Amino acid sequence: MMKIKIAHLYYDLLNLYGEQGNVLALQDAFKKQGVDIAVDLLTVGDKMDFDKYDLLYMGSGTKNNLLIALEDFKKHTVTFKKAIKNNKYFISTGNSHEIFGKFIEVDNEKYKALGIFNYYTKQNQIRIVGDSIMEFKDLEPIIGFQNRSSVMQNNKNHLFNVINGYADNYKSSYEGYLENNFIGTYLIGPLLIRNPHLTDYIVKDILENKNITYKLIDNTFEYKAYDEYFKNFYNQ
Amino acid sequence: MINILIIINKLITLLCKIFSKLFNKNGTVLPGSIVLKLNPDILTKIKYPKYVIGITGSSGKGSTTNYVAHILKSAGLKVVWNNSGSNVLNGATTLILNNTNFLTRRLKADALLLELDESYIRHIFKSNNLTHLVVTNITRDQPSRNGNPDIILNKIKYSIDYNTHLIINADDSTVNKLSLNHQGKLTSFGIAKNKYSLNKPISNNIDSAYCPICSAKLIYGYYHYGHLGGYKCKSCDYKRNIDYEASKIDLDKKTMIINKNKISLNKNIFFDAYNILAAYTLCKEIGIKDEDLLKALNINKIISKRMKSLKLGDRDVIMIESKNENNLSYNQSLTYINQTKETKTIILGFDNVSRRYKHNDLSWLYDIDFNILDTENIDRIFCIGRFRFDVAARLINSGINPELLILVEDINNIITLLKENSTGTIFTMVCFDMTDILTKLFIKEEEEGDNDEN
Repeated sequence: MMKIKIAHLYYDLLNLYGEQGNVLALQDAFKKQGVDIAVDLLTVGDKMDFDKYDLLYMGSGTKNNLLIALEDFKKHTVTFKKAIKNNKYFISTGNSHEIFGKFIEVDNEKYKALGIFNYYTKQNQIRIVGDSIMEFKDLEPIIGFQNRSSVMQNNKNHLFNVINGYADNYKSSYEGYLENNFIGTYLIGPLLIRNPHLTDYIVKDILENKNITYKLIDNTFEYKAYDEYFKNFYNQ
Repeated sequence: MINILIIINKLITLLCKIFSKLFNKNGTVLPGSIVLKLNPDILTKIKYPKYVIGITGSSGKGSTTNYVAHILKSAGLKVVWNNSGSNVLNGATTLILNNTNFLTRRLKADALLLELDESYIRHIFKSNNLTHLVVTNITRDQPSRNGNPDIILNKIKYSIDYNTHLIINADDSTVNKLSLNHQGKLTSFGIAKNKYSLNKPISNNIDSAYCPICSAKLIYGYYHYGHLGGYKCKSCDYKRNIDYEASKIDLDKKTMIINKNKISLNKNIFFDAYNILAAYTLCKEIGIKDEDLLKALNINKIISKRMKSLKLGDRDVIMIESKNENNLSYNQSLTYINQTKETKTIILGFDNVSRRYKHNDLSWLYDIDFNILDTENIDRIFCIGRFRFDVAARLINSGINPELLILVEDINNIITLLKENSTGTIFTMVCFDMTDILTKLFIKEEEEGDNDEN
């Protein structure tokens, strides 16, 4: 049987807002397709052989935890670039995509980041907190929540059109970074649980690339919760 | 002017008391809010008593405050405390001014004891009058309002200085970071490894898992709840140092040992041990005699208020209030439910994430260890409220059998659904709003049942 492998990177540092839910969502979605799935929990000091995995995931962290992960990730920069070039799925929620930019400015200090992407992030005067509705490709809208202290500048590879909520910064109408299959967004928490259609989009793509037929299963509680959210909060 | 403001505060409180009876509203906030508008610095002009004690943290601060008040009063001290639970600026101002002599500006008590919201400590005590501050724990708690645990920690850190004697729960690796920089006196408490301890955490969402000094991963010998447990750094000498340690916890007998003294637990809940231990540590540090402490905790015990108990026919209904956006609160409820061995039915869910704001952040649902409920003696789990599908999805993702779930579209039908589809003791583990709604429905059913019998 075909086996799908996922790595949850820095699971014990960057998992601040219930983001293990995203890994659970992927596990569940692949299982429903009848595919075997394995998840590796990787962290500081671990060997990170990105080729071994079909998808890599990273969630939010406190400032200190993000900086610990940044320091450790330095040794994976080359293989990371290669993985992104080869269309590896890499999903980064919350502030974790900040480490791939030019620099992170926080608490009046400027930390050199990995410099893989051209954006950089700076601490905002007030925290940015609130519900978000995003547009992504031709999918149904993406719902989510943001709770961050920074704004992103110099981002040319937009992920989402912002329908409602906060963008990269106050002048932008876009949020997040997309390059090949690298998806980096400030949305926090169980994004892939709350947006089962996004999860299915990713799962379908991964399976079809392996010549496995995908079948839509949309009678789940996740889909009902998604509809209920719009019913209760968006059309008011 | 200050004297007049104190009088104004007292007069408005009196009016509020009269009107609160008419409109059934809590009148502890308005007087303080008006007086603060007239003079934002009024609390810096008060002559405070010898002991000004704050109790803060993500969970357990209300119960710990209750225990401290009980012990101090039993020992003969006059205590002014916020037993109404108003732990933010306006409520605290009302309380302080109402107990202050308007001529001498002296607060008329031996001790001022306040349960404090972490974010408001520096607003209430602008010139840091706290002689003692107890920190019960710091966990993920209302992230929309508080941000993350490190932000909460910093709020506490920058609210006090060397004049404050810190009393910290050193089992909490986040709280223990306070010991690194505090220039004043510091005393710690913690619970030793015991029969309830876990060898590994239930899930991976552990805060402060890395050393705050050298960034190496901390080594845990055991866990009590979440990131609370026994730890040390493998690379440097950072570790959990304990001054007051509780051991031999026995929830069946409701006892524990602190410094060779046998102490009664008020409830058969593990976390009650933390609350009593925190109170014990603080009271010992301010010089309360063993004799008075033991009398207050073992003989003249206080009545617990958190859990309400009702009936549905011959079935017990136990209501455990669980705070949304606070995984520790839910995990405590889950652990308690799991401790009971009988067949049980559980009610979970919410209409709104928060009473304070309209944000729909659901991240916290995935920080709760719902897999604790994956046991054989669960008969049914009822998911209620506008977020019932989100709750159901979360439960299934935690390994709960989907066949156990009943989704309740109309809350008014829950009594019928419970009677027709479930057995065993009913545990509700919902937030305050939902507890109120359910309480009314259970009471209505009980009254109608009584009328039928008559």
